[in-house]
This record gives sequence, structure tokens and C-alpha cells, in this order.
Amino acid sequence: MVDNLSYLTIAKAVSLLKSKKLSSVELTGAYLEKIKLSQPILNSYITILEQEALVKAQIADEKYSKGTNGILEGIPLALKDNLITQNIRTTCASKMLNNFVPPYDGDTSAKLKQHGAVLLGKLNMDEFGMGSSNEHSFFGPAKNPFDTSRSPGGSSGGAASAVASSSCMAALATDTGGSIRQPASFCGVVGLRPTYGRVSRYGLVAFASSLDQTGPICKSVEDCAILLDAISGYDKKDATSVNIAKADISEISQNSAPLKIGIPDQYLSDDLDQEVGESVESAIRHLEKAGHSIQRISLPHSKYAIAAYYIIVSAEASSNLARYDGIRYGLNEETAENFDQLFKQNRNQGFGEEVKRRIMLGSYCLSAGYYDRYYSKAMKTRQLITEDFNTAFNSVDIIVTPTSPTTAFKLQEKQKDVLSMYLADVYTIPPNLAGLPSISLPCGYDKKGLPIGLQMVGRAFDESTLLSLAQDYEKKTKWHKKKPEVPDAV
Amino acid sequence: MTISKVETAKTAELAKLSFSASELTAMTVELKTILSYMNKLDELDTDTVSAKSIPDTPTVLRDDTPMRSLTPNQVFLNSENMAQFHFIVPKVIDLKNESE
Repeated sequence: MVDNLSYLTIAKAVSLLKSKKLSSVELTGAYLEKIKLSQPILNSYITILEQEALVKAQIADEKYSKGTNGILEGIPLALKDNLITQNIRTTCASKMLNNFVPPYDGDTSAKLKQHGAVLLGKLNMDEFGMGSSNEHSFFGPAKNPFDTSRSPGGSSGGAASAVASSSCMAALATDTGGSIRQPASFCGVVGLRPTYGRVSRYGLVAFASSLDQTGPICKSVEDCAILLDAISGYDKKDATSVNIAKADISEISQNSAPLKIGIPDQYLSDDLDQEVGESVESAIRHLEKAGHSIQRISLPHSKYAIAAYYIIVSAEASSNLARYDGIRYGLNEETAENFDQLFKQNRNQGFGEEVKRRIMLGSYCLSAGYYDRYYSKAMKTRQLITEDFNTAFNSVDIIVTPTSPTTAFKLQEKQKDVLSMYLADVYTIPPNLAGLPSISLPCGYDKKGLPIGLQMVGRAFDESTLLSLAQDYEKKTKWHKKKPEVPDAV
Repeated sequence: MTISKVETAKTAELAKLSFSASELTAMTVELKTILSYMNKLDELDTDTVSAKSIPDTPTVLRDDTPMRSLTPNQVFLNSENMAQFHFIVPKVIDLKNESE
């Protein structure tokens, strides 16, 4: 029997499986039991693969017996439902793709298979990754295990909710403007967005191609490092995949060497929730005591990041989502007199409100007469933001900020105010525009008992330093040990 | 600069979406709010800045080698409207007008 899934990490589980103190069938069975209890309450999953997972677990146990196991052999993981999985429904939480069964595996899904992971299921999300609350899902929102009346964050809300509630050991998710780190922050787990180009986007259903990136959400920094190592690497099927050596994760468990840590003046602003600010300040003092030097830095163009980001992602989304006509795949439930009518009917019925809003915004910004005013201006602003980071990294090794200005908000709290939802991504968007790696890890709890996240941003392709500092902080603090008490469904 | 209801309707046509009159009004109001926030970028002088495309990563092209593609069965697996390995769509060419 598996007594306590809450504290079992990939690193520990692999060791138990290797020494035959635990079998993958037992482990997978324990997670499937947990999912049965949590799913009616948290709605973290869109598709649960009970039979397939148990069959794979049995194969994994045989491989351990023969000594032919992969590095993730028998480890029960789950994937955000915008990562393409062969012969397994992949919906992007959209009515448009409700019945879509991909005939191929994406690069990350193929790599997990190759390493022997057990796939428990596909996770809930905001439709096509567009949202910060998981409320824009055709399948209803996932819930926050720390308070089920609150959002788990978005768009990877299902992934963070599932990891935090031990409904999977770890998950792969995607991050365009903060969709890994903000949910990780809201649910008290660790989320890593790798450098753009580090992990292949082949088989990540495109939302905004110049920003989308796959990364892990886990219970520990070490598990994030293990999964990063498993999924990163050059892929000739993705033209923006970078042919560079993998991040060296072999020494991240050593104490981090003294680093220069930059704190952007602009980030600890009036808009920041007081309790979040205090926790982040406390974490910064902790890092200083641990021997790192702290210095104030300036990222003067960050205040323009949200405006630039929402123009760029909406423009790219309007272009990427133009492929959904319902003819070759996707929703096609109407008969129409002509092609134009068919196209519109399928898109009108297949897309949710937020997706339509972004397609409209993007189409407007790219339309004749507005391209220079909006899209070109946003891309120039993106350049200025990148230059700010380049300047900052001349004098510091890591930049530390809050992950989100608040803790988890109530479901429906921001649904009517679109702009206020967009502003929730204020800290996670700037590093994404510059393509930099960043991680969110727990650094405290507010008076309501809700988790607070600390964001660390590193130089491009220097995930090693990032993970090393994050693990050092995690080892010396207790925040990651607090687990939610999710009531059982029965 | 702001968006009018006529421009929203024109954008919907470009985006291949259609809205009822009340939806169009609501969408116009929402886009106005968002675009007025985007106008914040007007504060920045970007005349001498070159537009950034994607993060500074070289674009890599793969070798032009033949690879196995999807089988017809796989290609048509997700189509709700197909016959004999063809996608069924409304008639695109109007033969009557063609002949005139």
C-alpha cells in the first residue's frame, strides 16, 4: 500500500520502484483511487485513462524486473490537454476539439512514453490556453484544492490542482504568459517555464507561437529538474527548437554558490497585495542571509508588458486559430449553404467567449491600417523589454519577483472584468516576452491559508543556476511541505 | 483611437465569426476597453527601435528528406463529414455563373 502520496516525489518513487519496495501497479492504483475521490470536487481532469494507466504500470514493473527501465519508468504523470497524445482525445478544453483524437504524438508526449512514464490522463485548462482562472474551459473550471470556491489559476489550472491534491505525481503544462507559474503559485506547488526553444513545441497545440513553451508542474524543484531533463532537447520538427546542450541538473542539489540577485524596483508596487509583498520581502531577506547579495535593478519598460503581450498573443492566436474550420477535424455539426457560412457556424459554436474575444482583438490589430499602430508597436516594445533584461543580467545572476500580485481569487470574481484578469499576469509576462526561463515556488501563505508564490527569472538557457537557487531556497524553508486538505467526494 | 460597431462587424467578417446585434454591441464595448488600455504604448517613442520577432534564437531548417506521412485512415479519422476519402464541403464553384 502507498500510505501517503502527498510527500512522494518522482525522485523518491523511482528509488522505491528500483528497489522493489513499491510497484508501479500499486502506485498507479493509489493515484487512480485518489482521482476518483478528488475529481468530482476539483474537476482537474478532462480525460482519465484508468485502464491504459494500469496496463502501462504492469509493463513498467516488468521492465524494472528485467532492468530495462527508463528514467521515468512507472511514474504516474498527467498532461495538460493541449499536448497532443496519439489515440488519446486532446481537447484544449474547447468544444471545437471535444472529439479530436490525434493520430500522432507530440514531442513531449513521445519523450515521456520513451522514458516509461504512466499517463493517468489529460488535464483541465482554459480553452486553448487563453485565461488566468481556468474558468474558460468547455468542461467547467478546475478548483483550487486549498479552497474549492477559488480559482486554481490558469491556464494550467487542472495541472496545478492535480499536483497539489496528489491526483498525479507531477504534470506537464504549457506557459504563454504565465500559465505554468501563476497556477503553481495559486496551488502551492512548483512550476518551471523553460527558456523559449529549450523544449520542442511540436505537438503543443499552437496559441501564440512566439511565446508558447512546455514545462513541468511538480511538488519539488528536484522533480522539475528531472522532468526538464526528460523533455528538453533539439527537435527538428520545431523550427524554433534550439540545438544546445541540455541544462546540467546534476549539481542542483548542492548548495547554490553565492549569487547576485536583482529585485526590480517596478515590481514591488502599490498594486501588490500586502501579504504577498511581505512574504516576498521575507524570502528576499532569507536569500540574503543565505549568502546571496541583493541589489535593486530597473526594468523600466515592464509597465508596458501587458499591453504589448495581449496585442502579440491575440494577433498570433487569431492567425493560429484560423485553421479551425471544422472540415478536416473539429466541430462540424451544421449544414450550410456555402463555405463561408459553414466556416462561421462551426467557429461560432466551437469557440468560447474568451477565445472569440482574442481572435477579434488579434484580427483587428492585424487588419489594414492598424498593423503598425498595434502589432508593430507591440513588437518594438517587446524589444525594449528584452533589452531591459539584457542590461539587468549584466549585473545580476537571477531576478526575483512575486509570481502573482494576489493569492487565488474567487471563481467568477474577475469573470466580468476582462482587463482585471489580464492584469493578473503582470509579473509573469515580462520574462516571457524576453524568452527567459523562470520558476515559481511557494514562499508563504496568507491569513486565509492560501499559497503565495515566489518567481525567480534566469538568463536564457541557464536553467541550472535557476534550479540550483530555487532548490537551495526550498531546502531551507518549509512552505512546500504544507498540503491542502481536500474533502472527499463521498 | 477607438473601435466603432462598424469596425467590429468588419473584424468579425475577417475573423470568420458572426455575432447577433446585442453580442456585437457587447464585443465593441469590451474591445474599446482593452484597446484603450493598449493605447498606453503611445507613451513610448519607438521610432528608432527595430521590431523583435521571436526571442533571439536562430531558425533551424531540417534536411529535405522523405518521411512517412499519415495514412488516409489517419487523415480522415477526425472528420465528421467525409466520403470515400474526400472531405465533404458545400459547393464552392457555382457552375451556372461559370458558364455565363
